[in-house]
Amino acid sequence: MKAQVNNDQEVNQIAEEAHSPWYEAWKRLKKNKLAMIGLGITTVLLIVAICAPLIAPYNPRYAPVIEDGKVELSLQGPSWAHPFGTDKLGRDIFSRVVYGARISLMVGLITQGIALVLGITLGAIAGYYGGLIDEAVSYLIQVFLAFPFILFAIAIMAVFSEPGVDKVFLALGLISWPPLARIVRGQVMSIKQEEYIEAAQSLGASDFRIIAKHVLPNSLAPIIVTVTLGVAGAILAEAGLSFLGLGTQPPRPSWGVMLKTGQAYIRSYPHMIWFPGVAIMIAVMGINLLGDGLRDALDPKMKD
Amino acid sequence: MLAYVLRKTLMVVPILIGIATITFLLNFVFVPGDPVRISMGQHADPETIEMIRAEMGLDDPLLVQYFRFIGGMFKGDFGKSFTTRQPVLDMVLERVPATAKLALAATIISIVLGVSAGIVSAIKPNSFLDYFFMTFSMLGISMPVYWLGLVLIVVFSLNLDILPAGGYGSGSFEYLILPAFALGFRQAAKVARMTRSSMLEVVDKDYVKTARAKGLSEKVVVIKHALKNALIPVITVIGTQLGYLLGGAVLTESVFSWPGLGRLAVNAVLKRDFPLIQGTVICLAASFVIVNLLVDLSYGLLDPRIRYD
Repeated sequence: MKAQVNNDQEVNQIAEEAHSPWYEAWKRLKKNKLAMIGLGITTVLLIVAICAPLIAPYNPRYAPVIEDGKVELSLQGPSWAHPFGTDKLGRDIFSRVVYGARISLMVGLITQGIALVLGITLGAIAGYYGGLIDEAVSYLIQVFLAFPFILFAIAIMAVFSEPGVDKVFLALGLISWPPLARIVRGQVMSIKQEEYIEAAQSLGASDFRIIAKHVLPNSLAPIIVTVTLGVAGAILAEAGLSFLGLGTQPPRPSWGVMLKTGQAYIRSYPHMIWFPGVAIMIAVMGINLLGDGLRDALDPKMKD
Repeated sequence: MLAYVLRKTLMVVPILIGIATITFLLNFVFVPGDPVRISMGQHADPETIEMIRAEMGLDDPLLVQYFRFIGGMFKGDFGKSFTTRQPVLDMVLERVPATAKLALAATIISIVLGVSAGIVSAIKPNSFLDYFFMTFSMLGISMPVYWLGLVLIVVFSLNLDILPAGGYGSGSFEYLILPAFALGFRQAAKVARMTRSSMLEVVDKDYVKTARAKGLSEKVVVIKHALKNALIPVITVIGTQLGYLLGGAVLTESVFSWPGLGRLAVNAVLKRDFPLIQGTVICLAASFVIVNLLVDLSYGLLDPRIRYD
């Protein structure tokens, strides 16, 4: 009887230890202080972006008080009413920074969404079919990675007659897929030799089903890491493009646009550049920390 | 060795052709409408547009244009700018020294700052200095280069009034300091992180222990035994980060009105001067590819264990 109890305990213990790899990864992530800071910042960023209308005290696009066509609150320094001050048009910079989180996160998520679709498709096709298709895709990956990222984005923005945030999604999405394609291609190539793939094939599973059911789940860890870091990269790139006047256009409250307008007043009103810049830095740092933490937690072997 | 260098070098050619092909497609195929008309604006005189179109051979079939473009590229002929009517190559070459100077200065700053911060952090991991440098490098990686540029202008030009806020100053050194630092800081952050982790890995190796056991001074152990072996991944980082550096140069040059290739590229895009966009983009991307090649080739000099075969 006693032996039975011990045995049960042992079984329970083993069951507890043999949690899913995702649970193990989460435990590792929780132990990583920097990653948790990153997760915290990312969560706050998400909340700010979603709840922007509740958090921002003023309209981000229009000045609160305009009398006789004059902007009364133009270029005020930080105060209780306007913690980050106001810009030339009298708009509350705090509200604009809050709404800016929306644009940044949207850019990050949408571009990575486009990159995921392109990267997984191209990578899976290349890895699965091999041969000439693989060589063509690999060549395309090499060429795409040969462009400095932001320069490539600038070159693509030149195609559009009117720059804008929607074109930024497209431009950044179109150039963000190569790292993902590379990961998926490698995974597909190593997995396709396995016996269970052969078994699935002989059972009549379609190529699409094999890739979706067997190959992708196996490459999920590096994909998650790459996408997370990609979001941070896209946020930086959007801000950079908008700063150059080639991305999001005013009056949209993109952090890059705010820096561009702030630059013109840098001599007398440097407060205009502090807050959007700090916002970019904190957002990018938080997501990067989370990405680094995920990499260590999901795959301890993977290092940059 | 020579065969290896040749083979690696030849592998660059298809990449360059790929870069040129993509820029060609972007500028002359994907642009909706007539690129000359778009560049010159709606009020341009139709005769001038016709003249430019004829001169550039824009009425030829696309495939003919494409091969002429690729052929011209290898001869250094990138056509003429729509706006200035000057040969693109001349305009690009005129700007190369300023960008090269900025990139080189930024790289030197990043190596000096990054490697020393990395060594200090690695010698005493988890010390105050380690946390200090690693926090700074985390910030450095997340900071937009142009924002750091603006902050430096506010502090050193506007408040302290000790360095110029922008311009080239006909090449004098004080004009280089702020842009080079703004551009090099991110790179320094990356280098510091890499040096630290690479040093920490090496420090536990037997040959370092042996060196210590022999009674060599800490300085000799760190510099001669540990650092030399820790540097290879650091060099890789410097190479792979060059893409960011050149991209960052585009932004830094805009902040500091630095007359380099990046600013030329941005202005070309703003004016939609397509031949000039092609020339600048190809030139910047090609230098990225070529420096990466040089980094690849330099491994062998640093690490005799790497064989050329």
